[in-house]
Amino acid sequence: MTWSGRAVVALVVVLGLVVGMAPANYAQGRPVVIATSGDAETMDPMLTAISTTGSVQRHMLEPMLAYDPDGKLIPGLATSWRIVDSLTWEFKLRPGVRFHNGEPFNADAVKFSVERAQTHPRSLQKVYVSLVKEVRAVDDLTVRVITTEPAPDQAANLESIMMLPPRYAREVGDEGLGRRPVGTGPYKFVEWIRDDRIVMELNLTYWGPKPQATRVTIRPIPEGATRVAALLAGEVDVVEGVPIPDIPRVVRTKGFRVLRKQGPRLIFLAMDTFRDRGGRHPTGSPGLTDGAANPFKDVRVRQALYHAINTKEIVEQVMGGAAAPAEQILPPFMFGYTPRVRRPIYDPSKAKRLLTEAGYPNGFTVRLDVPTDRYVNDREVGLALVGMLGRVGITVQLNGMPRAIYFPRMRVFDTSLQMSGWLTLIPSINWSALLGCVDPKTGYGRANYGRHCSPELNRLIDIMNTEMDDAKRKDAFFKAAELTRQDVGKIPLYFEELVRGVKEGIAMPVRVDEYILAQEITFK
Amino acid sequence: MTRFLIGRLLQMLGVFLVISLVIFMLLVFTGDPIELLLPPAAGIDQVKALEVQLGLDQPWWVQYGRFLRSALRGDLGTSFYFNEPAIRLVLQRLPASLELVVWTMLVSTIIAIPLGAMAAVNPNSWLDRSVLVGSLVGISAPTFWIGIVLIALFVVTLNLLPSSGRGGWEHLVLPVATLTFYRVALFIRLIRAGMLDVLGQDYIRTARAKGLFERLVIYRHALKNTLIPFVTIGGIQMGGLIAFAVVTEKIFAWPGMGRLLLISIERLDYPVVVAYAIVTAALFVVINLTVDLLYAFIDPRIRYE
Amino acid sequence: MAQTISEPQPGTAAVVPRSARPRAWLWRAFRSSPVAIAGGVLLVIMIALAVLAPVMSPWDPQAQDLSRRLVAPSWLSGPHPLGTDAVGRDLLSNIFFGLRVSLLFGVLSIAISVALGVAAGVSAGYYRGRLDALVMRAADMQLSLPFLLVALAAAAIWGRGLDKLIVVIGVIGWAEFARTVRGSTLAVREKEFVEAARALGALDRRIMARHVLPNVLTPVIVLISVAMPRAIVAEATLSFLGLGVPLTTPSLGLLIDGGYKYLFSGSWWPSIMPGLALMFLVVGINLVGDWMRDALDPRLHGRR
Repeated sequence: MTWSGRAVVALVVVLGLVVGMAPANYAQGRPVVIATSGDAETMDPMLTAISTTGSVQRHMLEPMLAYDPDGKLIPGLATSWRIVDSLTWEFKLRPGVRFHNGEPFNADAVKFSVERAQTHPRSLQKVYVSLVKEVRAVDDLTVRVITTEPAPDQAANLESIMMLPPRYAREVGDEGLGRRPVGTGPYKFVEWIRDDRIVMELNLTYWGPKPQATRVTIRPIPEGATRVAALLAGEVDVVEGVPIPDIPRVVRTKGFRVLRKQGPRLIFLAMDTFRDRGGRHPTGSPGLTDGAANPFKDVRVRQALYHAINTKEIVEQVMGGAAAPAEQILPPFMFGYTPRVRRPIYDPSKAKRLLTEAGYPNGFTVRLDVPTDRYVNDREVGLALVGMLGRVGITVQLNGMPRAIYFPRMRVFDTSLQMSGWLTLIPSINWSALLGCVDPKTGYGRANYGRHCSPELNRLIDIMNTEMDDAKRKDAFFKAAELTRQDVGKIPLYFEELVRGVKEGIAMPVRVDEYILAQEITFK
Repeated sequence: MTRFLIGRLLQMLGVFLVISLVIFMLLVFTGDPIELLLPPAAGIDQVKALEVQLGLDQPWWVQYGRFLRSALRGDLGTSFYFNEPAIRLVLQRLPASLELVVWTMLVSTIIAIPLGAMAAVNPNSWLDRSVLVGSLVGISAPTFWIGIVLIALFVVTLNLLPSSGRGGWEHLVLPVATLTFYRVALFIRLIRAGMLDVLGQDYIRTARAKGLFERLVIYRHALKNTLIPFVTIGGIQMGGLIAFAVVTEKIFAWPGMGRLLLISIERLDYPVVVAYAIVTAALFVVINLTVDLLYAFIDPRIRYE
Repeated sequence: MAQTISEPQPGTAAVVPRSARPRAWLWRAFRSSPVAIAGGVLLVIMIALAVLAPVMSPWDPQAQDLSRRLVAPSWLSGPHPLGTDAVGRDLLSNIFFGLRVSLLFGVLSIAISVALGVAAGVSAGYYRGRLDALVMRAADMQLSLPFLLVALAAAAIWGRGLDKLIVVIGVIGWAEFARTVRGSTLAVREKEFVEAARALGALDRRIMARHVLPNVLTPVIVLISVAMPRAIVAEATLSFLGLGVPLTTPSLGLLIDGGYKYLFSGSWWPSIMPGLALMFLVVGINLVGDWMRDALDPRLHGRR
């Protein structure tokens, strides 16, 4: 080799060494590892309703419009949308967007995705598009969604429908969609080893802002304490769902932080206001003494319970502060919340007075049904309620059941007093599910386990669901909140907090929809 | 012998039928999974619609009939949650469970045979007594509690080992240790008891007097005596472990069949539970067949026509 | 009754008629074995604690005090010797009551399992043929039924309760007894004295009761001494998984489950203490069981 040749080689070698040894510039992006509470079930967005699975999918798939971390609708694949008439929504689509496999994102893709959500036999998302009559492609980048009746929430509902590439979907079928997702999202699918990890890498042709995390590994670690241990050992960067007893540990340890935010999951009590007497289900109320008159039919008794529960103590003692007492059915950040309605003061003597007025000076006996493996500290809260209600003379028999038995029972209203949780981001659904009169035609009352039915409240709920004018809707929400405060159809207890653990140096917003999205991570 | 095997095969089919039937009935009577499947936003009309869609509104015998017909075509049901064939989901996790089980049985047997034998050969010695006490503690402690204690020691306090997941050998140590605790104790006792059955005889004294060679022959003979109960219980333990090391898999988040079962039962994912039962029934039949064949091998007088 | 000591064969015990052992001898043997005494004492203590739980508990086990959650054990001084759990209930009192439940459970469910299992196993091993195949396949199926599912289904259908759990676990447990007994029966039945008895025209039932049964007793006793604790632990395990006794019945497994999530943050006592209590109970049972088996074992008499 000539001298100049050798010089070139030497130069290349030296350059290579210098570049190779340069410390990685973290400010420009780096891999991130997220520990979640469970593995994804499937990558097919329409066949799942589980939030941890959705969280994973939303790295790679996107809906037309999205929620910002505080629950406000923002443009996504759709740049704008508007109401054309009472039965029509129009969406303008973002130009120049391609799926990971090169297919263009356009009105056809929207039509395909929405129709799949509607018609696929195993689709769990039909409810979000149940009012859609037709999806019409006006042109390549404009779509009209025509509904069968006025649907003020249709745009918000479409936040749940991920956009799928039609050609790819037809090629690979359900199985392909379930295993190797292709979407428009900021990350592309790399690999999925069940129960071990999901790996995704940056989509270099993403239409939106470039995320700082260049490679995402999701590790499912079902045991909460183990997740935290992995965080503190430096094995993962972000941890979903820090168990309450472990929060102090993370806070105390140098190099780690806890991110908290009030979430939208409401934990509430439902009382049977449908049946007249205690007795065997279904004619009698199963949690009350046989033949006894149903105390919950008297609004004073319901108010008494409301006064008897020291929500603050539950939040502070049982939930370790990882909850916020509920003033009403909706959380403060949702449309329809009114600061005018507050929960009653904890007042056991007033509770006793109310009970006496209603004809129960010595209280009564009732069975409280709680799930034992569904919500944070559900069992402990149940136990605490036993104590609190006992103090005003109500003898509570605590009946805890695993959710496999619990929810089927609740579905057929086999309860007199029960505790449950509820989470949706669409306020009108919160109301209709919790307090709408149970009616298969309207679909109301899915979580109305006590079958509470107030015609006036139902009317207001109808307005929430059909009125397209925002001001009129807000009015309906406020009136409903005030009405419920007096009528006590349900007793809202508290909202669970979302608690994340992160390494120092990692910042990310805590989303009210509970999703953890690596594209929102920034490194300090 | 061939007739014997064919007979067993037929019995296996019978077992499958009955198992799937029983599981089916149990599941249907426990409750329906729809409530747990659908998102909260779905109204009760949606719930009913999905029920019809999945065929869950039919009486159980209709559902079972449909299941049998698909089973004949080789389709044992698709998981409600994973949307994949249930059998595949179960079999995918079999290797993980087997890993735990094989290591546990190996370690247990390797420790138990020498200890049990030595204890039996030197009865009432300090070795015998400590083996007895040790094995006693071993079978007394609940497995899940042992797992918790080991975690408290090695993970929380000493920070030596990882507490979950499957990976290198360090992930195996704690779950295998947890499962071995009980089994090694059980095996030691079985071996010791079986050998003592033989060794307590008068003629042993004579053998001892006669010298080492005679003794070895007798000891081997005694060891063989333990084989039948050992093989029986060993088979049951092995089958039980594969199928039901659920709690250990739960505590250590080991991605095996047991965890899948627990999760599927929790949310009434019928197809997976049924597939699981069939796979474990098959395993048991195979294990028991092996055990029975071993019986014949060990004791020539036991014959199968 | 002829005394027959035959050559040891695999899977069998040498035969000694049971009437050759008077009870007085048993008691003496007990007193002379330190192991037995230790076990007996431990067992008696645990049983006493369990039986006297209502008297001995310093607190009402259900009494909660949210301001005294997860109080550390104060041992010999202080109001909560073993600490409190996540809702402020005294751990010591709950452990006493939990022991009660465990004992009750163990004794009753094993009784059911033994009755069913021995009957099935002896019949299967003795009669062979179709009955054997039927019983054994049934045992296979029993063993492969996930007992979680059975427990869950039972809870769903009949509701939860200690009594129902006892029956369920008792019935489930027959298979292992049946298998073991059948194995031993298979071997015993080939023995000469059995042949002789049959040749003499004795009824099958009589043969099974007088000749087969005593000789399969040893493995059964070994199994009981192992299965009873296992039944007790099964209840604890089911309760740990949330499928056992109802929430308001004190159970050691339930306590452990309730305390488990606090383990990593340093509150070890709610999950470790109940387990210790459970272990002591089971150790006591096993010590006595051990001794009993040894004492009843004829081949050891020559050496003692």
